Amino acid sequence: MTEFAQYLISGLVVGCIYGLIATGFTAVYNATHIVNFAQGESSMLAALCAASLVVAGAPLLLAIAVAVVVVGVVNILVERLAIRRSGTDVTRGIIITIGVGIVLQGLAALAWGTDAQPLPAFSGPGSISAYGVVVPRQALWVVGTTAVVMALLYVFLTRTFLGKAFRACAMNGQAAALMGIPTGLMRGIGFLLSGTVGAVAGVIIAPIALMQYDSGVALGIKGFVACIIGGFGNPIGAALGGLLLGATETLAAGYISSGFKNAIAFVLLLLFLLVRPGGLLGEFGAAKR
Amino acid sequence: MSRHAMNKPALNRFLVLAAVLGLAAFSNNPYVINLLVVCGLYALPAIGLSLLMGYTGQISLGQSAFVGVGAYGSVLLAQHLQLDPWYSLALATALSAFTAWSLGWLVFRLKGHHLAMATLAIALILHTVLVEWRSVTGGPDGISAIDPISIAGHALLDDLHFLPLAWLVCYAGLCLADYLVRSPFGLAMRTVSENEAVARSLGIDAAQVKRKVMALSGAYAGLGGALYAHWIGYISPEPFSVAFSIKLLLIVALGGVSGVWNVLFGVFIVVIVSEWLKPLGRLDVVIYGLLLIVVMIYCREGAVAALAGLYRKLPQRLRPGARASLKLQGRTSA
Amino acid sequence: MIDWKKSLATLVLCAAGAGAAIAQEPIKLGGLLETSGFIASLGQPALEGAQLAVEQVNAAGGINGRKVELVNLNTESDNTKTVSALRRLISQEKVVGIVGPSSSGSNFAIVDAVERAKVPMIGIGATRGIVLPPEQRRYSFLAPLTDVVVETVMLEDMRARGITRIAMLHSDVAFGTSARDTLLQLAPKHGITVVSTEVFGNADTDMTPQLTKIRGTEAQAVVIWATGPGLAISTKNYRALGLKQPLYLTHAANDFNYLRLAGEAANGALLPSSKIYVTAELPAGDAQKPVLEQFVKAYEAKYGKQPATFAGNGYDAAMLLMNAVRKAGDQPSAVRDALEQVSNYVGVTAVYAYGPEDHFGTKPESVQMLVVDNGKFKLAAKAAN
Repeated sequence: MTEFAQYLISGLVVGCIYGLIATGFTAVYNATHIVNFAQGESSMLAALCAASLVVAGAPLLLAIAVAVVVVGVVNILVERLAIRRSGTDVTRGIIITIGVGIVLQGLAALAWGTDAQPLPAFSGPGSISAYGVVVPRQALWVVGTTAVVMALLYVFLTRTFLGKAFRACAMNGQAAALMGIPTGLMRGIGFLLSGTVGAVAGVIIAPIALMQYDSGVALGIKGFVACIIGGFGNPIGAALGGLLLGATETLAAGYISSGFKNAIAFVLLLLFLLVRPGGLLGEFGAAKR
Repeated sequence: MSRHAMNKPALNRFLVLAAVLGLAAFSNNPYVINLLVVCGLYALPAIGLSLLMGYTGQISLGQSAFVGVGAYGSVLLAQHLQLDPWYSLALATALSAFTAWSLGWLVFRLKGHHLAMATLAIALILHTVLVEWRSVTGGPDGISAIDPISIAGHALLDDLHFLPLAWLVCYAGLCLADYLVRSPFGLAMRTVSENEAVARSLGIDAAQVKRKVMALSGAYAGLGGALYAHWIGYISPEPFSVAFSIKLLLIVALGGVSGVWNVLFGVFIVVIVSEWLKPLGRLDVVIYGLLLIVVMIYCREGAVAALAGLYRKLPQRLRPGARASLKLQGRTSA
Repeated sequence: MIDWKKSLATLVLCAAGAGAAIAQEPIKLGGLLETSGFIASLGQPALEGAQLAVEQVNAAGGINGRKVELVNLNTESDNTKTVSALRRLISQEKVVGIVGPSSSGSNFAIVDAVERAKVPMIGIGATRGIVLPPEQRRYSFLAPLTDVVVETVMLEDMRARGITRIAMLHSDVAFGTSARDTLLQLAPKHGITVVSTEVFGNADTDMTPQLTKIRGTEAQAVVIWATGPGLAISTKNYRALGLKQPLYLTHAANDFNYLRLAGEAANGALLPSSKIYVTAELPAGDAQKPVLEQFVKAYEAKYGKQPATFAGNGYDAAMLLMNAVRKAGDQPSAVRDALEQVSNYVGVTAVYAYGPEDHFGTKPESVQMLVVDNGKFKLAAKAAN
């Protein structure tokens, strides 16, 4: 029982990160109908920026805030310079975002080298243990921050004018444009949101997962799987998908085989795609598909 | 586009290709010859993907899995059944085609991004199996000491000796693909790509067309993988990771999705440009990525169409033949 | 359809021309080290080490008055690209010897071609199979400590501490899996049973499940074998889970970046290692002491950071090659013969001795058990026998 609880808790912590990254995917997808293959890079960039700022002497909170803003700006630039010009073709969108990922990774390798850069845990490296189940303090930060970010996102999307306009765009871009919603601005907001959420994910997991220039790829793929499981484009589904994926992975590693852990995640992805392509909660604005 | 006019120069193409390859071989530069072999081997799976993606409109990020099935299949068959590489090559190609065909039953219920993801998952799962199924695949250390292909008792160990084989197979593959896209089946493929509902209303079984093309693309990929394995003499899971699927996608997209021969362009760009960038040290990856983005943004129909466009803008007198330019205009305006 | 023929021809001709300018004067060494791709965190420091070695030799007047030039081609951790790069080094650059890739897979992919090209290569890969069997791998040598060498020392240390049951956690790349195979072979010879082996993906971010499983076994000590962040993450997870058994790490842990990443969690960890980080503690009579002192000092001066193990491997490989060239001239096959005769080269990683049957070079005598003490590497106290 202790083992099971330990697996589940570890899974949920990793799952929070997958969920946040998945939410980043949905923000971009809703605004542009592009799957951003460079999504993981936001998390990597933010973590490395924050680590450098901390080394340079900045207080942790400031370092994190600056890193998140920097990544937000980078994402807006990416949208302006590359994505906006790419049109709606699926393949072209995929290749351009892959190109963006390659460039960001290459630049990160130039700036930070190929070694991982550590970021200190927010409230010390210790952990809390009860009944043999251990939870690192940073894990509580991960869970708490994820909950707050998700709540804010929910409020933004359902309670603010801008959020409603954003959703309208996601459901039917043309109709939204006819209603006077500036779709270009909404694309920018989509990328800003995805960059910020991804950056937050990167920064909170960095003390646990130790980011380096190529860490974004694996996170991106897992985030994507979470997205599909949850229902593509659906932010709440994405979060749920992340938790489910994280828990499945650790339970699989614990009870079945650690070697096939990753394969199990992808088998889960295939199953969902085939049996329930809309994911757990169905696709956001699925009507148009 | 005048597709029947394109059929005529098949012999010309063969001669030009043979001349270029002959010249390269004659230069006796092992590095260039090696790159040309790599080009030929990359072209095969790319042709398959071009049929699937360019003509049938079905994206796949899983081609590396079929390349892997071909490579591991051929090596394992050759080693365990003591088969001559020629037979194992043929069996592995069939195995790969069959794998692709069976997976087609599963994945073609999906479209667009979902299809991309399902095929990506297939590639990732196969990679994990290659890494973890150590008793069979050798795990991350892979399998070494693979028998080379031999012709009449002469083992094709040298790149120079392998070059004609690789490109003959490649040429045959191109001709077959070219023939296919012109056949009635090719029309069915294009109809499926344009609009499945219309295809069905014309009595075309869209699902079956997709599965058949998938099987064919699996065969191309498997053959490419098997040849690769017997050429390089060592296989490990790494070359068959998703990164290779993405490379194939780039090749097809760069060449432009219309016209199987354009695949050759994509191959040359992907293989040779990344070699050119080597002297730039660690900047090479960044510039490669930037190039991709720029080409995709500004050359929407692929590099071939873009070059053709540039060529048309040249003043008439600089062009080496008015007939050619007429042809080009005909092509790009289609 | 003229366009494709033309451009095809142009592309090929340009490719042929790209590397045509060859200066004959300097002695060229080739490098196949990875500065991008999944193994770049090993390839990059190895390249820096090799560059430092070449710079030092040139500063001292080169080899017989000729400068040495290191031509490194980034092989991107890609086997096919490594093969192409090897052809380029041999045919375009006409190198006399090659510092091989750090990916074991890339080494495997080129050893036969190296054999046929008859140009000596010193690989930075850690798998012994690269140079086996010796009669078929006459031109391939290794520079790093092999897993047999380090695990022998580690298992001896365990035996001396009365440990008889161990568990292992390793990464799923060749570095981890081949170490696991070696450990399973070697352990019984030292009277030790491996009760459990667990594996994690190289890019995984949490190894708590695997370690939770190990916590449930009878293991008296745990061995973790990986490179990069995975090693540091596992160390942190190990401490967080409150496992009390002694923790043994791979020799790849002797890297200051590991200490930075693992922080306090690393304290108390034992590892078999070269002497690179305990230079000051070495007795004055140690042959490697002066070599290590100058290497660490020069490396820090050039790169502004402390050298990683792989930097030492790259340095040793380049130095061994250059010494062989100095002795035998610039004919690759003569360089190979000279390498095989190296019997007492005092390097950063080890005192090297190659032979016709031994292309590993390193010996257990060069390996020390270290312990991480307060964020620093120290020589571990000898266990009471």
